[in-house]
Amino acid sequence: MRRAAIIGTGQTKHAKAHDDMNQAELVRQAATRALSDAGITFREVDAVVLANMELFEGRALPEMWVGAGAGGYLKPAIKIATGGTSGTSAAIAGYHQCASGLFDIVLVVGWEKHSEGATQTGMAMVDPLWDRNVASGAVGNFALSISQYVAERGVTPAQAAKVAVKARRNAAKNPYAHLQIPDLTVEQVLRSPMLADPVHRLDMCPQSDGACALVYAAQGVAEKLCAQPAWVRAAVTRHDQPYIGDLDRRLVTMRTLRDAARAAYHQVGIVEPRKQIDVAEIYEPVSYAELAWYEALGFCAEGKAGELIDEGVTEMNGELPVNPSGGVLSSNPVGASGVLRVAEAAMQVMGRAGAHQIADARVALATGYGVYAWSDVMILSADT
Amino acid sequence: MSYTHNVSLTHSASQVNTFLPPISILGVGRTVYAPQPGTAITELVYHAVQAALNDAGLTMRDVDTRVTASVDLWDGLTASNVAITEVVGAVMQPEARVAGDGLLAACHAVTSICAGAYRTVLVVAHCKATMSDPRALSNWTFDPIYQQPLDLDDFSAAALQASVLGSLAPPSHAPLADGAAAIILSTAAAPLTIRGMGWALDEHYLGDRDLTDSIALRAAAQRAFALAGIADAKRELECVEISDHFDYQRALWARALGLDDFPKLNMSGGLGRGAPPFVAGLDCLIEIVLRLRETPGLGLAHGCWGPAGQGQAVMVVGR
Repeated sequence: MRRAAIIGTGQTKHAKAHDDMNQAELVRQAATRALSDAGITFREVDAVVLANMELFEGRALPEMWVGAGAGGYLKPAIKIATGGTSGTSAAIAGYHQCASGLFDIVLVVGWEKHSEGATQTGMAMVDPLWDRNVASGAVGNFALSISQYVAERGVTPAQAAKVAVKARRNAAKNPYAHLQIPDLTVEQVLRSPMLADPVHRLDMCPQSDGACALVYAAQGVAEKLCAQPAWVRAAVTRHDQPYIGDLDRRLVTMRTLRDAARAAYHQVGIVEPRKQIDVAEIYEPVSYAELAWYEALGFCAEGKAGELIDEGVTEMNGELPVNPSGGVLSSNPVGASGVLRVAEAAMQVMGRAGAHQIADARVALATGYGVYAWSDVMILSADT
Repeated sequence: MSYTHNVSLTHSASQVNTFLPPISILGVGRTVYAPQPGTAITELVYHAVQAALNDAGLTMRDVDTRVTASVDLWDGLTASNVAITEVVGAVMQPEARVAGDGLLAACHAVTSICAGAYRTVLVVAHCKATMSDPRALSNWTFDPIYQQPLDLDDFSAAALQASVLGSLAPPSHAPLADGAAAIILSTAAAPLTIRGMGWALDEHYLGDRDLTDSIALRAAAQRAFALAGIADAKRELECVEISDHFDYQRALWARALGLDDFPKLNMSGGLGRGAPPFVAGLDCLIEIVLRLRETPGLGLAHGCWGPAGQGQAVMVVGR
């Protein structure tokens, strides 16, 4: 058992359709950028962890073809696939492999090429006995849970729209983000087409083509290769019931995220998350979810998420900036989205986030969300 | 044809462990392997998991995390572990899911124990091969630009591999069945421990590979033998179970492992016993565990997945 840190990250430009690159090339570009950021080459990589939601592109074992793009040839390579959390679960798997003492350097790469598949069809491939009959994909399922959340916690469509505006404004500072809309207004979000009440189109994440990679190094190696590594301090996963009908008050309680965050905070000694966390990169597929996550993550009391966004606490210049990268609302290549959260959190700690850098970020939180309500939580820190 | 296999698996800065910390196999369980059209994936996994818990004398409460193995397209499910969340005890608990053979999931489980993240891990693999269309689905494993349009699939790739090995007859495939297998790994002391493991990906393009050999399996075995401190596999191993999805693979994988003419190879009868794809490697491990409970020594389990064994995993267990 050893400590491990992220020493490099890389990503492609995320876009509606990458007709210029196939899946293996997307992965190659993200991987070589991450290795270059870490100052190493494929030769130094001991093991590779991949993440992708293969049913979105309709492929079986896509790592067979794509693995070489991540330098997986003759290396220990493995693919993690857990729905939306694939990327964060792969980041946790890569951390475990690096901390195991068996490998010094582990490369994690997530990718998705939604433009080559049928995402909604993939999402409808759920339990054939019960859920497939009512499967409505991400938008419809979220609309159900959001209606309940709004009724119980009293957040307004305008407050949710502020989250959507913040994401796209932040994304304008991130050269890799898909949706960059610096001048978006709350009114424009509320006037965008209604997908499923109360979710407007601009409340929802896009589907993107893209890849993201990160490089882990074990203690003893990380310090030699990186002036300020982002040390992994906690990595926690919680899965939940597989049937939508059994997940009563899903977004209201968000019990997996709440429990995973509490376990992670306990490991790191965080008792006041809003004060002790410098920046958060959370997996918010829809504006309302970010508000619900604020409460589950303990950034504010239950029912106070609307006030938090109204007061600008989670803006770039607020007390606890959330998603300076623009988040999932701005770029969503699903298999990469979780890796992106962890990579962006690491970039903040390493001081390499460029125009969306938060000053003096030393403790960063990253979360993943997938399937009906599965959660991953990682905490990265400048201190070992 | 022979290659020089100089596979560098660790780089020079290395503080990499040269042996594994003690990790035990506490219990194993599996379903029957047969066409089971009336049994859902959830039920298959439930029975395998309960059998493993009973074998270990544990309850689900003793399990810290689980690593599951399945393939979405074969299950017709997106994030196919949704079908088994409850029966593997993952509600409000951690789980990682590997797309590939169950032996690969076991290898990953070992790393998460070595990392100090968990003490006791349930490893589960499932597949309902008779519910799937393996020929059509495995065509979707091939890259969409060069190989998929050639209508390659696991069966035609195997026929190609058999032909370069000198057999023009279509290779015979192990019976396709439905089933699940489970195994419990732990830091708790027990007689059977994991001594070594390795896994590797081979070249994807069949035309770029030497199909008469498997350098990925050599790489995986080299690492497993190094961790286990095995210098002469043929002499030191007591029993070996390899995944012969096709008949010709028995000799091919044995040679890559340095185990030509090994007498105690596939004493179980090999995959003729029906273990389905993605379950097969984990079931080889179960066979080794059962054999070592009778006869002390070192045993080797092998799993492979993908076209002509592109993915390879090896685990060495000792008592």
